Formats: sequence, structure tokens, C-alpha cells
Amino acid sequence: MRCLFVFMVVLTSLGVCATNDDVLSDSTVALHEVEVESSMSGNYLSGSAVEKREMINSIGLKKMACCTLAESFENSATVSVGYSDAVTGARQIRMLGLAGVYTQFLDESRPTMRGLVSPYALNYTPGDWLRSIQVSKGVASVTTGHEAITGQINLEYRKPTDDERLHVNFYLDDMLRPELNLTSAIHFKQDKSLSTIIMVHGSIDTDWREMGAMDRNHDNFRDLPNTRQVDVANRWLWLLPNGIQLRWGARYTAEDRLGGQLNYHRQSGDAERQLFFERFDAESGYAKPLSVYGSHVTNHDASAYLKVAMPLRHIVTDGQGGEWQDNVALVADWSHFDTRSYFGYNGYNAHENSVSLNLRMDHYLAPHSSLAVGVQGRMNYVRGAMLNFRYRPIMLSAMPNHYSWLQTLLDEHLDEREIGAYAEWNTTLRQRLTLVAGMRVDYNDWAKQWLVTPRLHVKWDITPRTTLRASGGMGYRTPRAIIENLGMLATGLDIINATMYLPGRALFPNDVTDLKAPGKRNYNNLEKALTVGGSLTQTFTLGRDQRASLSLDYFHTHFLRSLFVTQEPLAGYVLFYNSGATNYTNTWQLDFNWTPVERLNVLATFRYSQSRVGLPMLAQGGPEQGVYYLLTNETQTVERALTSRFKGVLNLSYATRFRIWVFDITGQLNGPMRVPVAGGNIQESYHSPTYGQLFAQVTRKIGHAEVYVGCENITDYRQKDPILGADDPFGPQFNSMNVWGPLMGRKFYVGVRWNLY
Amino acid sequence: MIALLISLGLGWATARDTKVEDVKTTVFVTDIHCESCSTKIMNNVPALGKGIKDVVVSVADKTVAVTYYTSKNSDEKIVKGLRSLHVEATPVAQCKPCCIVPPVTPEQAQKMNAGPQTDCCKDN
Repeated sequence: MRCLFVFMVVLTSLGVCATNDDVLSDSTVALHEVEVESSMSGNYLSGSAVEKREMINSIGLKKMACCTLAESFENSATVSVGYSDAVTGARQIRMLGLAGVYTQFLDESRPTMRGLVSPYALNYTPGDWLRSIQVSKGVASVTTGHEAITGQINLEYRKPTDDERLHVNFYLDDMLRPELNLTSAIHFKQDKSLSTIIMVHGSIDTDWREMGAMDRNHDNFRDLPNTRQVDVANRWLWLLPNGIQLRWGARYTAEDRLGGQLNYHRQSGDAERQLFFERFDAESGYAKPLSVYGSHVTNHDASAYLKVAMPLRHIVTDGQGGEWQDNVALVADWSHFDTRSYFGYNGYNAHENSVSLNLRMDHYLAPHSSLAVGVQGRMNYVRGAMLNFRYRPIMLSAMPNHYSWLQTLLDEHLDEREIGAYAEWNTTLRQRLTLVAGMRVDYNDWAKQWLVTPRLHVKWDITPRTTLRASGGMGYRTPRAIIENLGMLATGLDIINATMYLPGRALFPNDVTDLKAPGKRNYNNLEKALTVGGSLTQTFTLGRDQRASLSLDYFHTHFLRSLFVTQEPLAGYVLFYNSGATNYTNTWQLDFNWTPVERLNVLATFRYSQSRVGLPMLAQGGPEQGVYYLLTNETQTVERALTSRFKGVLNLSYATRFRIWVFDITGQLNGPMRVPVAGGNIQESYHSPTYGQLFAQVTRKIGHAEVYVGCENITDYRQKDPILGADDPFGPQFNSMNVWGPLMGRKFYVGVRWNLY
Repeated sequence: MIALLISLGLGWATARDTKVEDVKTTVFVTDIHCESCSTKIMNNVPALGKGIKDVVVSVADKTVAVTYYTSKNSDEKIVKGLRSLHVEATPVAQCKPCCIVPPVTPEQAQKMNAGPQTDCCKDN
């Protein structure tokens, strides 16, 4: 049978029939060869990818409970996972020493998890829905956009062609939090040419244990929020007899997240806060203040997509049975996200609608040379409002019970439209040297800027066992100051949009009531960065393993313009502003993979980061004009806050024959981070301690089921004081942003996976 | 002493015979057609029942060779286990020789477990 479709693919899904000539591909990522999944390694480096790519297959995803996408990276030093703040419990990642917003997420090669949903998106992807994850470092292909600055994470989901008619995964931990995942693949035709898969996830915090169990550091705040979540997804595949492939799908997520003090409850807390603002009198400034600090976040996320692919007539052959056929594909995406949240008095409500279209053609010039060209358009519409409300009592003898209030209201109004075209040439010379050169040009009408994105990847197989890779290119992204730094609302700090202020103009922090932003935000500057790097991978024989590997890589990211959000330059304030000031990271990483005896795998990896930013110097004005500050052009270069200097991971995994028993143990060593202080004096910042974490899991197959039992954070290491000023949550010292370590201690869990074929 | 040695010898011989009889390899002709079918079987060996020593899947030949302890399992149970994985299987000895890929001679088929023969061609 003729191979009907040849996309540039990453084939790691177990649900795809690779032996049939009608190759079914959900992904369109630059590669030349089909990946062969190792039978043992759950985490391994791709040998054929032109980028430095770490693969996490289904075995790797099962090493831990992997309830959500966030937990999937606990075995990786490439990606570090932490919390944005101690109140919302939103997980965030770091790659190459930079925040996860600079990493592009792909859903089978379609950009996803961007915009307002980005701080929560890691929690909205159940780990059980995934077949594999590919983590690529450095700039990515131009065909997926201009946003990948530090790297790209591609998610491969379960397929409509999967064999499991029903898959169930039930999980329960020692906090009595149950999670249930159900997936069902339905084939309407025997050859699976018309198939669908339905995926459902539900989880809830029951709070069945005593309140004390949720507050182990006894600061009267929940260690993690009480969360209820439902996710539903449906994906379809239709292969037409004429060779056209159709894929479409939709998903929906609803989440309710309650945080804050232990005695804060949903309904009563919402009612009390609403009553406060209804009775609040702008002139007298009086209303009964809130009695308990609480946070409540309600999110709804919906998205849908359609992919149509059609083969064209032009075919090239190599005379040895290999064939490559031109093809054209259209991908359409729609997404909607709505968030309503408050943190004490502060609040943020917003919604976003996005539509994008990508039309792409792959033309084969020769058996190992192809040209991809395409056009892509996108529209984003954001409407939101942030309230920064500080309510502090000022006792005056003539006016008892008088309170002074400070309020900042920022409207968020974004109408962003972007249109662009790209071309990428992919060629392999003498089966040793692979070049991927791409160029992309977009026009962004919100920033009123032309974006030119050149990117180059080189892979040189020096010997069959030695591979040298190098990459470089530009990246751009639209910053979202509020949603990407939502933790600043869970503080008592005043928030100043300093993007309106050019150097030399005064900030008037004591009169912030005048700081009402104009109708549109003024930070109409995209973030712009250059990332270059390379890696050297050596495969060698060590003992009985002929495929042991050692890899060293280095990446440098340099921001030419970025949005800074910092609590450091001005005591008691969070500033956000655009700047071309110093902002760069250097990252080195060493990876070692070895199978000393059959079914025993050793994975060791170590990452070191050097990350620097230039914080603005402020000049203080004279007393006769009131105390004011000038944002100057002077900066001081400091270590980037809350970025670990190093991380080491050691994973040992052993399986008995047929993987009847599987034993996994993972040790992490997390390096120190510079912890900022909001006192305005950078010299007072300190470094968090180096700490280790241990994870272990045992899995046993019984018939069609798998039972797993494990423990996370076995040594019970926790950050003792993630919330500063917890005794006065409505005061100016309250700060939950300085999270550098685990919030939860030791956690035991048990679960069962069961398949019906 | 001689009687003791004879007893030990007989016991050892008996144990050898028992050991050989305990383990059996059956080749099943199946309807598998791609690597994912093979992966499904290898990921769910416990579904075939107890006492499985080895499983070798050949997608090209559409066969699954199972080595197992006869005291703990049987061909019928393994067929039932494969059916639970949506794989229809028939012991090769029960197939007409012309249907088996690669083809075996009637003499070879007779050397395998004797039994009623099924027309497996319609399943291939």
C-alpha cells in the first residue's frame, strides 16, 4: 500500500499503526525519521530530532502519579515546576532559567495554553490523557509561530485509534482527594478510519481530614487551595478514501479554587465581600471591613479545533522504496477563557476569545529535502479589569472608625490581530548533516510592529554515535502583565503600572488614587529575545548497555525588550514596566542515561543556570513636592529572583519481566534561589537553602489492571514560611509571592488503572 | 545403599520428565495486523493468565508464541485472555496447514498438539 500521507512527524504515540502504509499522524513537527520508543526508558533524548529534545513516553508518565501535566516534569531537570504563589496554588514551570510563559505549549503541534489561561493551564491537562510529551530546548520551528523563546513542549494525547474501549484511572491521596479519569475510544469502522475518543477528568478536595492537616505550618492559611475541577474532551478522526484526513475536537474545563485562611468558606466569603463593596461609600470610605482573608478563583476554559490535510500529486522517490508526497493542511483553532477571581480585597475578572488559522503546504524538492510554506492569522480579544484595593484604618479622634482607602483600577482592553507568512527549508546532506532554516514575518496590529523571525537548526552526526546540534533565532510574545503575575494580587503591595512612565517622570506613590490607567494599557511593546545554543550527545557502550548516552548542552537567552514585574525597587510596591534593560540567562545541562542490566534504567541529569536582570534605580524627590520617585535610566544588575541556580535529578527504574512489577525512585536536588524582599533594598535579599526531595512508586499488574502505590516528598521537606505577614493579611506586609520550595509535605497515594479492550 | 541410589535415580529421572512436561510452548495464529496490537499484548501479559514464561509476538507472521506452565494455564485460557484484548487466536495445530503463515507440513502440524483442525484462512 502506498504511503498516503507523509507529514514531518514525531511518532511516539502507542496508538498509531506504524506498519501500515497509511500513516496516521496527529502531529506536524519537523523531523525526518520515525521515533522508535524505547521499551524501557520513560525519559530519553531523541536521537533523530534536529532540536535537543527530551522525550517522556507513557512509561515515563507512569513513574509518578502524574495527576496533571505539572507532575509529569518531576523527573526532568530541563523543566522545573513550582508555585506562582502560596494562595492560589497555581503551578508554573521554568525552562532555561525563565518563566514558563516563554515556553510554547503545543497540542499535537497546535499552539495552546497561551493568553489568560497560561497560569492555570498546567492543571487543566490531566496526565492520564497524555501518551507522550516532547520537550525541545531553544527556539522552535517557525511553522508553529514566533512565541517559543526558551523552548517548546508538545503534548501527544490519547488517540481516537487507541485500542482501549474504556480506560479508567482512579487516584486517592492521604488528604482524601479523589481523582477519576475515564477515556473511551470508539471505532465506527473496522479499519478505524472513523474513530473518536472521549476523555473525562474529575477531581475534588474533600477536606475530610481535620483543618490542621491542611495547615501544617500553622499560619492559619491553607497550604494549598480547595479545588474542584472537571475536564471533558472529545476528539475525532476521519480518513476519507480519497486520502483526505480530517481531525476535529473540543474540550471544556471548569474549575473552582478556594484559598486563604482556614475558616474562609465559599458562599459566606463571597457574600461578605460582595456586601462590603455594595456598602462601601467612596466619600466616607466606610464599610465594615472583611473579617477573614480569602481567595476564590472560578475559571471556565473552552476550545475547539479542526485539521484538514490533503495529499497532492507531486511525489519524489529515492529508488529504494522510499516515497515522499506533497501535502497541504489547514488548521483552525478557537478558544474562550473566562476568569473571575479575588484575593482579599484585590480582584481580577477577565475573558478572552481567540481564533487562529494556519494554512501550510509541504513540498518535497528531493527525497531528503523539503520546503514548508504557509500563512497564519490570529485574532485575540481580551476584556478585563484588575482592582488593587488597600483598606487601612487611620484613627482620628474627631472621626472614629474612619478608614483610609487606596484604590487602583486597571482596565485591560486588548484587540490583537496578527497575520504572517513563513517558509522553512529542511534538508539532510549525505545522511549526516541536517539543516532546518526558517523565516517568518508577521504584522501585529496591536503593537503596530513587523516581526521578523529568523531561525536556524543544525544537526551534525559526526559519527554514528556522536551528534552535535546548534540552534539560534528570534522570538516574540505579547506579555500579559496581570494574569502572568497573578500572585501580586495575593499581597498587600500597591501595584503600579509604570509602563506609562518614561524615565524622568515622577511616580507618586502616596497619591496613587490618581493612577487610573487610560482606557487601553500602554505597554504596547512585545517582548523580544534572541536564543542561541547547542548540544553534544555521545552514545557509547558501558557494560552490557550498548546505547548508554551522555549529553551536554548550553543555551543563552538574551532579551532585547521585556516586561519587568518586580517588587524590589520601591518598598511596598509592585512595578511593571517595559524595558530594554539587562535580561539574560545562561543554562548548562548534563544528561546521562544507562541501562546496566536488563530492565534497570538509570537517568541522571544536572542543570546549572545563571540568570541576570537589570532592576531600575529610582531617584527620590524633595519633601516640598511631597515624596515622589523618578524612574531613571540607571539599572543595577542582580540575580533574577526565585530562579534556582541548579537542579539535579536521579531516577532509578526497575521492571520485572513483562513489567509485572515496576519500581521507581526519584531524587531531586534543588539549588538556592534569591528571595526578594519588598523593602526596596536589594542588599537585604537572601538565598533559599539547597534542599532535596525523594519520590517513590511501586506498580503491579493484575490482569487488565495496574495498581500503584507511592509517596511524594518522602523526606517531608516544606518551605516553612511561604506567606509573610500572615497574622495581618490585610496589612501592607502580607506577601505570598516568595515561594521557593514545596508547599505540601509528604504525600502518600494509591491508584488503579484498568483497561477494557 | 544400591536401592537408595536406584530410588534417587528414578526420582531424578521422573523429576526431569515432570519438568519438561510442565512447560509448553503454543503458537497461536491471530488476527493482529500492526505494531500497536503487538504492544497491546506485551503490555497486558497478565491478562493471559498465570504461569506465563515467555511471549513472542510476530506481526509479520500474525502469530503469538506463548510459553507457559501447564499446571497453571492452558491453551483455552490463553485464547480467552487474548480475546479479552480483542485478539482472536487459534492454536496453530488446530489450523489447516495451508492457512498457516509460514506454511507447515502436515507432519509438522501432527507433531504439535493433536486436535480438531479449524479453517483459519477466513480469519487471515
